[in-house]
Amino acid sequence: MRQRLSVLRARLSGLLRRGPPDLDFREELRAHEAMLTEDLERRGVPPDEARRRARIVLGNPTALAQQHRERRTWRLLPDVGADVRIALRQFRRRPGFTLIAILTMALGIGVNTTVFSALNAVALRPLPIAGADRAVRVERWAQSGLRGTSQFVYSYAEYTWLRDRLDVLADLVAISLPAPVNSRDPQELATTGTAEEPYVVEFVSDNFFASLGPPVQLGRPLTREELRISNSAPVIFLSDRGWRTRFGADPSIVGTAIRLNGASYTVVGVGAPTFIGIGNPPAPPDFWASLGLKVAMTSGLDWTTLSSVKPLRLIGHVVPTASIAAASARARSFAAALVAEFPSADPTINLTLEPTTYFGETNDPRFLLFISLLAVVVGLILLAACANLTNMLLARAAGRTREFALRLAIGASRGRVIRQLLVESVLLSLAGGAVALMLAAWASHVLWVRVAEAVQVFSGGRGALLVDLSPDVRVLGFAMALAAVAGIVFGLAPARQLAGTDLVTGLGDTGASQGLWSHRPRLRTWLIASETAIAMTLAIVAGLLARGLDRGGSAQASIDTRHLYYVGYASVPDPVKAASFERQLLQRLTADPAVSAGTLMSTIPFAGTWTRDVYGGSDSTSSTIFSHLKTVSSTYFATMGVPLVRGRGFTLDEADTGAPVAVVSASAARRLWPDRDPIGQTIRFSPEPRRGGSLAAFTVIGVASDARTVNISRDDPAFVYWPTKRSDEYALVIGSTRSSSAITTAIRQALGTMDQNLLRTLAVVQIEDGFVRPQRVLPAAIGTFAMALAVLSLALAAAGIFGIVSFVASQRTREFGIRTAIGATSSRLLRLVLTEGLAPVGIGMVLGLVAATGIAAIFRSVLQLSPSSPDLLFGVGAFDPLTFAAMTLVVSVAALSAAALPAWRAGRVDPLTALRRS
Amino acid sequence: MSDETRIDLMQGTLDLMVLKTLQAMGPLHGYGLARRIEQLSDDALRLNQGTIYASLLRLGERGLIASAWGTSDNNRRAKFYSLTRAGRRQLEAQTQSWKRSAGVIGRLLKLTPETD
Repeated sequence: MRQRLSVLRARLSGLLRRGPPDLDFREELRAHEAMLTEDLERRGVPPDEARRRARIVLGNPTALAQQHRERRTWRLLPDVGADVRIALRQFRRRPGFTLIAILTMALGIGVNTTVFSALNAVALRPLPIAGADRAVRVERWAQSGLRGTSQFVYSYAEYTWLRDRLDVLADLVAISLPAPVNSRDPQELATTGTAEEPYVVEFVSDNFFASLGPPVQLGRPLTREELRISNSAPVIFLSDRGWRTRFGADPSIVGTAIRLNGASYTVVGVGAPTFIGIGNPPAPPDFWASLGLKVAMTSGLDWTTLSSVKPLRLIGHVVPTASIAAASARARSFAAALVAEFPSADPTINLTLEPTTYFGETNDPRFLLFISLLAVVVGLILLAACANLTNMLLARAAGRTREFALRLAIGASRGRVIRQLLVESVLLSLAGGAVALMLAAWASHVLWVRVAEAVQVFSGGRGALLVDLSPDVRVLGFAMALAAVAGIVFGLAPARQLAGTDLVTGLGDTGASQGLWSHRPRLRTWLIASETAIAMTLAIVAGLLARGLDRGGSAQASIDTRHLYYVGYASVPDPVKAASFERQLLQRLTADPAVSAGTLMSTIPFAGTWTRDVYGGSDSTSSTIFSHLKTVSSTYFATMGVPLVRGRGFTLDEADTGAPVAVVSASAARRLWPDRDPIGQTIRFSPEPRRGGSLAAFTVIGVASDARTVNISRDDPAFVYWPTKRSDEYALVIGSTRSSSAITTAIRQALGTMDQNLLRTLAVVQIEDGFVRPQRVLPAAIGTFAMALAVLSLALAAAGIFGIVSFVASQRTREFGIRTAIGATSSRLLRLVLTEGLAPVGIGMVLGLVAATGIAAIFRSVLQLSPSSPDLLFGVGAFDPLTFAAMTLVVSVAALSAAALPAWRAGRVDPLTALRRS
Repeated sequence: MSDETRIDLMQGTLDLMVLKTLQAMGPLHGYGLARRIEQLSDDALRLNQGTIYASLLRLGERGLIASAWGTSDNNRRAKFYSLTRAGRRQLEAQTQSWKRSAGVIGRLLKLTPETD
């Protein structure tokens, strides 16, 4: 050990010593040589001969000095510098090659970096708050296993309970889900028809600013006193976006009073642009205000007293003395006590502390699955780019055989030569990575705009999404690590090939033109085959998605979504009163001539569903289907335009009492009782909203025709309806063919006569615009993205094929010359080059077909997995022969044209020139 | 002496020879060392004298020998090498292990084929 240390010290000092380090040693050698010569002379050797023999006995002094230097320090560092210089010289000499290599890698790495920066922004980057590295969200895990937003929200009572007991947290801040606030006074709103776009507010606990310390650009943050729950000060703090979009970035906004819901509030400060909120959902509100102002601002429920509403998201900082993992384990131990204190139908069985990324649900398996799939796809593109780089390096290596044979002959070690070549490929790859970063900065914004568009409509359009996509250390590290690894892995094959140069052939006459590359047809075959396979797979998958995309715009629901409207308003606090209020409103509405029909239902069409196992009999052996379920009132089938094909619908009485009767869809009936009359049969399912509830029996009284009311992309595979109860509140949907302003006026009038206060909260949403359109946007985004990737990989494959076929053709110029000389026609040569060049393309296309079929099978099985999953292909068969055939044709044409030019050139070889050249 | 009777240096033995020579003769410069080793072997050793420096550097790095500039017998500036305490210990240990392996090889070479 001690000896090793001393070796290390010696070498380090050798490394640190600058200037010519071997002067000392050279002097020592000179002395040695002199003494040796003298000795020999003394023994009678003539002086000249003595000097010659001394040289022989001692060895080459330069080589000795070199060995000496190598031992004294690590050669690697100074040598890599030299390698870089040599590599740069090479690049300057071949600018075309260098540019194409860099661009190829930039595309491959760029696609990956784009996806990574989006992922980084939503799932890795910490929130823009103080102490972000120790900040955590409190996540709850329900017995039913329900995932999603519900895991992150708490009632105010639960918040204070947790805040006072979770001793591993230094603080705990409550931030409400975004809520709309009207700028108009209520009276004014009741008299004039339309409401303007409401502000979006997040109500916060008193420690919000003290704990999270958001950066401020104007004014000051709100104080604890101002944010007290009881007796809150009428002040608000604007977000940067709220300030810009709602107040025109007015620099004198601080101190101004603004009207909200009939009262005045003073703007105290404006957050910095970097403070884009606490995420989950990733949309900053227009402003923040005290939780105590909730009732005054919205005239709705009081969130600080009701334990049934859970609007609060919690963020805290773990105390410095505990690790985050330990704190999370401690939080778990409070779950049981929390449930004992606040009983629930779906109790929380676990509490965890999660890192505060912008997108809260990063541990959701669906999210992880999506990310992994995306990673595989963009990884394939990178693979194609790398294969191209290898191709290019190999082809170029062929032309450098003589150079490297020479290097080896004058004493370079093979390791040294490999390193030199690796430095070249890594440099190319790193340059590609740098370009990729710029590419990704641009592309991730473009991509994000489309994603945000799609996601925003899903989140109810409340505030546009905003994330910080600027590249940070993580993105930089990702791109550069990817580039370095790709450069090493894909530069290794060409490097090893050159280092293995046989000196005699390498230095011989043919060495310069006859590369080793031509002796390694197998590697070449597989490079082309895999590139073609990747392009083929992506082309077919993108083709399938694009056909879906094409149909997505025109897909029609079975119901008339343009003439159906959802009527939403803040409900009355008492649930029983709310239910009867709703029924009265429905009555008034249907009495109005502007409204042709109205009905109640548990879920709004195209805005979610719930699904259950439904058993077609009373014993355990009965057949089971996985079906959509919905509670509907007596007028549902008439209002929605879903005809009954057998039996009858629900009577008024049944829809009041929630009678144990049911209507099933035609396909549900067919699957449950293929050979029996469904009317009068018994079905069993759990009518409770939570999973795993007890089963109840229902008698089938009617069969409705199949409909498309959940996903615009597919017909509902099975549906079971059962009647509403008088005591519950539901979603109210009306049908009308009048103009939407006439309808809004009618509804406003009906609601206004019943409760003036609720007018402010009224939202009339056309089913098509509000709920169907979002479903059309996402597939459009996915389809566009898939197409872009497919085009990219096809371009890479074509470039690869072109490069290899031209190379092989140029290597065989002499052979072709001979062939032409002895009578081969140019069309024969063309055929020869084409068949040899395209054989691996054929292999790749077959592999690609197999992979695409596999992916199509996954598409299909996802559809069968759950009736609620949307059909990304919009009814196009997963194995759609037209798409498969068309894409095969596209790839074939691309491959053929890429190979045609070099092949044609080969056929035109002039035998005299070709033969003279060698 | 004809070339056939000269022996090539066994890998790793040069270090041991250098250590032993320094122990027996005291501080020496590179040429002196090379010369002594050749003389002690009655010129039976084929030594490329340059290689002695690789050995000296190796031993120096491991702290087994020390070096200092001095003046040679015929008034020439030369670097002198001497054994350190660690070098002495190392020499002792290596001598033992060398003797053991030499003994084993010697006994093995004395084996005569068994005749039935």
